[in-house]
Amino acid sequence: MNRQRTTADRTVANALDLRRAARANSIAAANETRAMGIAMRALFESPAASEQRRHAVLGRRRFLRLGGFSVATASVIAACGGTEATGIARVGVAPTTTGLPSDPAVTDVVLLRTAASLEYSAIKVYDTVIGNADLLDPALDDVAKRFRDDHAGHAALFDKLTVDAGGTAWGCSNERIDNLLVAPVLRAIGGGPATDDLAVTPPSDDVRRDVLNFAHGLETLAGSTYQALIPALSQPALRKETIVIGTHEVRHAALLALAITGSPAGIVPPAEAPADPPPIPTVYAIPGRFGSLGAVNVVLGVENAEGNRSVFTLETPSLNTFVFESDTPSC
Amino acid sequence: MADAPVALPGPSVRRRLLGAGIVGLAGTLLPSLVGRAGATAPDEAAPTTTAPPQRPTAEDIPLLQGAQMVELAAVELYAAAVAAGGVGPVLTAVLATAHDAHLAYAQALSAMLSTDVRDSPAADAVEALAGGFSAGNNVETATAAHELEAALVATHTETIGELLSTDAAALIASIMIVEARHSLVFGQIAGITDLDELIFTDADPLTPENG
Repeated sequence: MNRQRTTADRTVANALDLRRAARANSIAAANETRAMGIAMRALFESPAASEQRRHAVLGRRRFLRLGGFSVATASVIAACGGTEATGIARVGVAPTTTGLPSDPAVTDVVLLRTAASLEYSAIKVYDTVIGNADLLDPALDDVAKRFRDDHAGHAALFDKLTVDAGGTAWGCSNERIDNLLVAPVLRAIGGGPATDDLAVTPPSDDVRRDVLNFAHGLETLAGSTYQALIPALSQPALRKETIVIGTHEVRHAALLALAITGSPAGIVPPAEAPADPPPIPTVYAIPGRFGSLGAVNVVLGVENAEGNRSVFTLETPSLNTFVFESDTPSC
Repeated sequence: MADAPVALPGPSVRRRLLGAGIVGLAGTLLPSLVGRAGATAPDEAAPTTTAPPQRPTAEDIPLLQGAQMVELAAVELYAAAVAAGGVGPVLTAVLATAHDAHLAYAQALSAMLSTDVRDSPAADAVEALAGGFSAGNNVETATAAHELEAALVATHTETIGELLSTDAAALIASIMIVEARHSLVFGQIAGITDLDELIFTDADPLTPENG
């Protein structure tokens, strides 16, 4: 016999419907929040050039008007993707990306392997310019060789500390930094032919200037990186070894700043920032009172039709640049 | 003053720096450091399951007090150098910059120490190094500052190797990163062209005795 639905029945049914709807909304919100999180991390933690990320942000905004998970994903790919800005974030130019480990534990070993990888990347840069008079003033060859040897010593030390901490020495450069920072920078400086993804890049109007500015940026980044690792490392003894290397790197940076800007103009910044700052930022040996963890902008390459040069933003490593314990050396 | 070309140093034998002045201060940094050093050698580093403390621990307090004392000593020495005069305008400006920076470091450490702050300079360091800072000429004053900054980096290196607090370690790191830059700049002003001497990474730490 059919029982007539009572007010109580209807109330229960309504409550169930509400609960079901709330659960569906919650799942949808969680998916979108997760997608947004991935996008934001890729945007703000990526070592990609600021120009690329700006385009990525624009792309994200435009896509978000349409709403949806696929759009956020496109921004992620754009931010992690091609090595040169193409105007609009496009999924098509992005290389295949590899996701982070499912549980990216950032241990002392991960930090030490990452530090070693930075050193090996710096060594590759110096090896590229040392002895090449087109790239580096021969008068600076000895200084560059000394810096290169310092980095080799640092890399060996970080490899040893990695093993001592129970990990496997990395022994290779940082592939992500090599591909997304060093390669496009060297292309912007020295020029490059057209490829499937990139138009012809003309060489810089002052190659040696750009090489020195990039070296200064790398040394500054290395110092900032090791300063940033101090509170992240669990062992005081590892912090000590790491910050010693950081102080070596900033001495390199200070010497390069004096070589680039001159002395005394390159010692400390003026009390008041110039109203019309130079298009290529002036570098200083003592840029501030406390060590900065901020990003370093390096402006280089030839001016385009609008009078702009390429801007590369160097940021301290984060999840997308770390060398995790599960990563296998490929060199 | 017109820009002077940067002297390009060449690699050569490393000079043992703190021959006369600072060497009297050199040696062990803090008595408390020595007793703890062996327990934290890198070879013995092992994964931990407990996160390091964020705020300074009771063991960290004397280390931070020592760090503040050497920073206050630097403040006194730079103030004496500026007061002595006799150096060029560029060096005077950099001395004043360094003075202000060390004062900021001492104040930051004071804030971290809170009620445990001692606010007294390392008297031995001031006494031993005062001569160079009041020499009244560019080379001697800049050389003294170059050596002091390198010694401060060495001092804080020992401290950071013992601190447990991540906040304290981060603060000391942000200080010594700039002191390393100070050291190189003063060396360049002093006319040092040897790259090993200019980069100068093997200074001895100061002892923060309070006289």
